[in-house]
Amino acid sequence: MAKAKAGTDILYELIGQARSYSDAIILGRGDPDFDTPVHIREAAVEAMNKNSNDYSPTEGILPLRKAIAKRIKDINKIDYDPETEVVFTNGGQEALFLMVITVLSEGDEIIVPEPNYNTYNDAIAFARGVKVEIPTYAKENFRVSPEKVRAAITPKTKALLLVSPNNPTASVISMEDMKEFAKIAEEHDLIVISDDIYDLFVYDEIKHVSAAFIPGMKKRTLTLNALSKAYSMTGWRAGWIVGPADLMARVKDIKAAVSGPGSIIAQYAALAALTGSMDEVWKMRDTYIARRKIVLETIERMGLEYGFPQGGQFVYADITKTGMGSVELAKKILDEQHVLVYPGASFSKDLGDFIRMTFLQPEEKLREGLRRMQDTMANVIDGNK
Amino acid sequence: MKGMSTKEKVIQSLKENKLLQSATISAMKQSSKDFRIDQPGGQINEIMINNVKKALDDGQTHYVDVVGIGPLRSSLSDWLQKMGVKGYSPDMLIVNAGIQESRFLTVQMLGDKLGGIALPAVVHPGVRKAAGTRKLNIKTFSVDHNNGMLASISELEKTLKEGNKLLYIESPSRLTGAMYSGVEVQKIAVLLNENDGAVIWDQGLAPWVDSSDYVSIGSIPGMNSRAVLLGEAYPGIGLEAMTVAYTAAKEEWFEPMRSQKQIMSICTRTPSQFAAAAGNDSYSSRVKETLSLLKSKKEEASAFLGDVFLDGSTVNIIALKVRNPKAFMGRLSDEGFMVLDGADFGAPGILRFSVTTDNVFMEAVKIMAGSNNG
Repeated sequence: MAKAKAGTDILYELIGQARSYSDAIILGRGDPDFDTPVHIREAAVEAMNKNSNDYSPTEGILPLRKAIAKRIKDINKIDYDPETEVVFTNGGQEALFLMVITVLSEGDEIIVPEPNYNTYNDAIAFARGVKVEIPTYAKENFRVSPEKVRAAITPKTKALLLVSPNNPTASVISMEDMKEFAKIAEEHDLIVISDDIYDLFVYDEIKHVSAAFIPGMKKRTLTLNALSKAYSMTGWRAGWIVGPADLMARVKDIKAAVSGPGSIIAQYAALAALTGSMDEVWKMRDTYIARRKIVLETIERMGLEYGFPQGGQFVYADITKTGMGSVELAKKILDEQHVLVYPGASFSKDLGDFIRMTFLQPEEKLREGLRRMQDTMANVIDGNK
Repeated sequence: MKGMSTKEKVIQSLKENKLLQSATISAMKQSSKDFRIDQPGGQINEIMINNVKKALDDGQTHYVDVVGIGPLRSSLSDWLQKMGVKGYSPDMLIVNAGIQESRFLTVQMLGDKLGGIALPAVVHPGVRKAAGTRKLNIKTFSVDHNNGMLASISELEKTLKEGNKLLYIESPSRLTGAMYSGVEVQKIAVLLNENDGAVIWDQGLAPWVDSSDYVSIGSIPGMNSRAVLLGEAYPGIGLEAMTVAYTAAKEEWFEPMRSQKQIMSICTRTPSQFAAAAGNDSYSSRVKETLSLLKSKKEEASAFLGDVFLDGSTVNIIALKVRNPKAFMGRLSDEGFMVLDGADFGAPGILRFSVTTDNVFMEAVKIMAGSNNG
């Protein structure tokens, strides 16, 4: 198997270095700074007292699957049968991995917008699949072109990956484009792997549309989501996959082979999240909108171009004017300022002259991190003139 | 698969994957009459719950290190040391999200790295499932049906000399509870050295061996360079609900597994880890008590079951060799009892059921005794 995946390893190294600094400010990792809401933590403690001997099938307890199905119905307007079309996973990360290895066999091609979340490359490599890249550009706000997707199809193409809002570019697929992707998938009999993990975080009147919402798509689409980003539950590893019953039966097989059912305690916590109030979620979202403004102001002061973040929890900024590679720059910022941003090279080999900055720190810390970063960036940009 | 849609081809291919279609065994009982679980159940105690509560209140709700939190890795390493396994420091341990993840990571990552894996003909179906997730070069070695379904030393030697670099061994066996003796473990270590071999050693049932005779391959000096150990973390004290297990390996093998775990799940969930980290404190005394209770139940059962009872070293499971397993299981099923079919492990004619300390267990035993006589 190809050695991972320089992308993931680069990030792991940088995270390790950042941890060694007591004054580090992390603007790289997608880990919300809020703690998990109290009612969810309390539900976990209660479950430890009352439910620690409960049985769970591989796909998760039925009340949780019903709650997941309801959430999808309410937010994405899609019906899924909780008995047969929902599998609880160890986070969105496991969901991503399971979807890819369920669908792909050795030599199968999957069309992937570039830049992309590095773990997709790793999962495709594990399955011994072939990634076919569709480049996206800041000047087009990282729009995934249906025409380019169509042109990339070969007899070996098995699947199409759609991530919306995209990580790291923060672009959101429009309804119009989604309908085009649906046509392509239908015409070429592709399976669609859809990543909706940031679906609650779309801004400025932009509407999120899930691929399976388009008529005819549900039968060929696997969709992941998770509680990590929306409920600040990154440490709980609580996600899911939904899809048509026949394919989900196979997802369940793979889940049983990879890790088995998730912790019953985490499942009860997830249930509390999904059936409880969403007030905290909307508060977080409003906070992110405010922080996004702060980050964008700083990027503009630095004179960097960027794809306007239509969704997600980060901004992807073009660093070509620094004259440095993204890893080199991220390392320099970390060395000099103890601020961690993620290098674009970890998201794309060829389209990597970017850095990804999250807005997942309290405002004061965010401003401090950006201020420090600006010092290094100013020197680098000036030096490159 | 002509004329099939892409989705239908995917489905068909996965359905035809015999390894992947191996049976799934749950870690938790479906009912009081479910005797299929690998590990004895227990109750998460107040100390563990409070440790989790404190951790959550302190903000431990975020990503943690992919390999696990420091205190848990340290306590697992200490626990292994108490088992006589001295060569695995905390930084050689990965905290897994359950035993199946341990199986998957070891089988796939080391199987890929070492050119394939040799599995025993009788093995926990979870091992085959893990092997079936991606094509691997798999060989099978035979086991001795008169020795608890463990492979003989000569069979292991033959397997290694045929060029297989990686063996998978359960000791104790997940089906019968039989284990390799100290002398045999020494011999296995010699074979591995002589043939430049490696072993994935499942020692998950070791806490239930009722004697000080248990010897892990990891306790043999130098074997930390050839043996990857795996098992559930502190079984029998209620942690099954939290799904925590461990893998212990040298750096060269540790790294691909760490990387793959990052890819698959980023980290093991924090509440589980903090619960397990507190489990170490009282583990010895709690397990001693449970072991004693299970032992007396197992002895009571053996008196009823007679010569169908297969001798195994662990007190938490009983394996039976029966003439007509279908009829046997049918009679149990009529009364709502569930036991494991050894055919799922590769041993038709063997049934396995877990020992518990409640009255329901003896009800099941009496039905089994009656079924055998009837």
